[in-house]
Amino acid sequence: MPHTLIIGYGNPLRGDDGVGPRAAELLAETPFPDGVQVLVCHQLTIELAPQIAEADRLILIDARATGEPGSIEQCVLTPAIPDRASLTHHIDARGLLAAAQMLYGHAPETMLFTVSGGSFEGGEALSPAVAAALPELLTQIREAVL
Amino acid sequence: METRTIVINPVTRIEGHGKVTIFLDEQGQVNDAHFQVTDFRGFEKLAEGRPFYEMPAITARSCGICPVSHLMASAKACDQIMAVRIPETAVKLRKLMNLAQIVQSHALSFFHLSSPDLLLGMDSDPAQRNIFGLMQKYPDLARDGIRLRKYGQSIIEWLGGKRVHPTWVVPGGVSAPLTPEVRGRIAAGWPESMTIAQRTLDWFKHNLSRYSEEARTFGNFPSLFMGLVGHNTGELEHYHGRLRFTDANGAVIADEVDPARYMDYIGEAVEPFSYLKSPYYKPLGYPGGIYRVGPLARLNIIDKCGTPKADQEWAEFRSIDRRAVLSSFYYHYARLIEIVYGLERILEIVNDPNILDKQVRASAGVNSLEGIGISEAPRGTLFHHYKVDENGLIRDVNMIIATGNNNLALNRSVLQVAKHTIRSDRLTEGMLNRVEAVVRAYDPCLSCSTHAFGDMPLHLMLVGPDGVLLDEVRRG
Repeated sequence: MPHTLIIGYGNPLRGDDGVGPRAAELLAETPFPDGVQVLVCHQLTIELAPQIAEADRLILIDARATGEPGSIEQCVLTPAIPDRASLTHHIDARGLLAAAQMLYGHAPETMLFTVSGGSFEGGEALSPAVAAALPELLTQIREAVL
Repeated sequence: METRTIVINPVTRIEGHGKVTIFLDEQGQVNDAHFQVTDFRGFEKLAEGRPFYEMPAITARSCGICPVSHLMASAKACDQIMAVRIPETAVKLRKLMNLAQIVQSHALSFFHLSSPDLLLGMDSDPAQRNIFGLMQKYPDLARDGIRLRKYGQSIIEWLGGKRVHPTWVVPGGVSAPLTPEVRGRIAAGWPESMTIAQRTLDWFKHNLSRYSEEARTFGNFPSLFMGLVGHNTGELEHYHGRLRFTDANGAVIADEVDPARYMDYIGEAVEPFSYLKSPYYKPLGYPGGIYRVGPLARLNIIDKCGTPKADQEWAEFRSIDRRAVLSSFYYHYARLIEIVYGLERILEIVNDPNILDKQVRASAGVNSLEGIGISEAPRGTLFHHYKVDENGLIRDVNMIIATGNNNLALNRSVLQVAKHTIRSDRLTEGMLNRVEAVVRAYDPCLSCSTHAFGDMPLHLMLVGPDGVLLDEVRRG
């Protein structure tokens, strides 16, 4: 089994933005084969780069601000350097892959799963459409991993 | 699987919108500048009606970068509502986590946000003047930054669990004692972290003379300074202590202030252009009571750090000026000294003979209807003030956030840089770079300060005397 890292990220206090962490938590509750590791993050930060560089495969789970609420998309991500200086403390997904490549010599094959959110207002609950999409999301991720 | 390029809408990771407006007078000279924060989440409102003991976990979520700082201030406010004295070992363990937070946050600020300005030059192309440009040109330094930050983050994770928002810090203490295994891991990672911290500080000091223009113009003005100092010791203190205010001459103007009396000393003004409150020192009024908090302020107000290496560095730092060190450019320098201090204290705590004690939590119900918790976050003094009903449900929350404390100073600094660099009715890259760099010196955390979400491109606007927009630039 190739070393696979799964990261669900987002803010669980911001409605559907919490779908990534929620999915990662649910995935972590079910057993995976050796070599699969699940992380929950509020946001992607630079110190994930060495850990990511050690993985053969990376699966990211995030919310999406556009699209029909509850719709799931998956796509392959490749490293890319953002074209601006940042005042913020986070790093975008492709930038993080670029950092892993530049500093640690390897960026894993990466797949991003996104779920379109219906509401990003304050609150811990997922909207009905996003909550209903969770089982399908988990199935798709498990299929990608196994 | 189809490969394609997509636009990732940034709905998570984010810290509010920063906007800078620069106003010109009739002669085309810079007249005023506003640093504005335009998003608002109303975190205080969200908390109303929740049980007080949930507050550390709830408020920690106002930020993905400094949740630990909120945990500290919140748990301390809850301790007061319970009216308990928490076990000594729990105090030390909370301090341990708080220091790890200082180390990791300062490492992020210095290595990954600010060092590109310092190493690649203020006039370099912004497409290069960022962490990726740094990685290309100085990969060793970039890896040093990651290692140091990782060390701080790891301590937080080992103590609090894997989650970003650990629930280990609880009202009454901490939820579990330190294990010998975690103690061993912290000690094992320490030497490399201290080597990196010392090497970086030495490098910065060696190159300090290259930044004399920045030191002269980046928020270099008289102001007050505020922070916690050790009770009866005057030492550098991030977890507990008393408030001290000093003036621009370095003279102490208020000392041994019980944090519970903060409202007697700090007023909060609200400007219509920003959601960020403008706190000021009440005895001097608004806006004369402008003060600064954070690493620079902390090193200005103390009598000593209290650890050997940091004290040596602090003495050298204070020799920059006979009075207080006034330029906000030196926030960077102060951050590096605080990393050294934090590491020294971390080792001291893990070597404490009683640190593995099992008694780490006091329990009680509601014994007081009000609690005020104050701690030093990486960016400065953080206040959590709660009022509860007799069932312990939150009735009222007031939070003064570190970046908020620096709001007036941030505005003043942006104005100074604008006056120094803007000479026409058009904005240039060089101007924008310097405005960005001075904002970055404060390491503002806008998600904390307004409890806001949204991307943070910098939006810079140049406005003529008649209110007409002359030029604008968005970065991001």
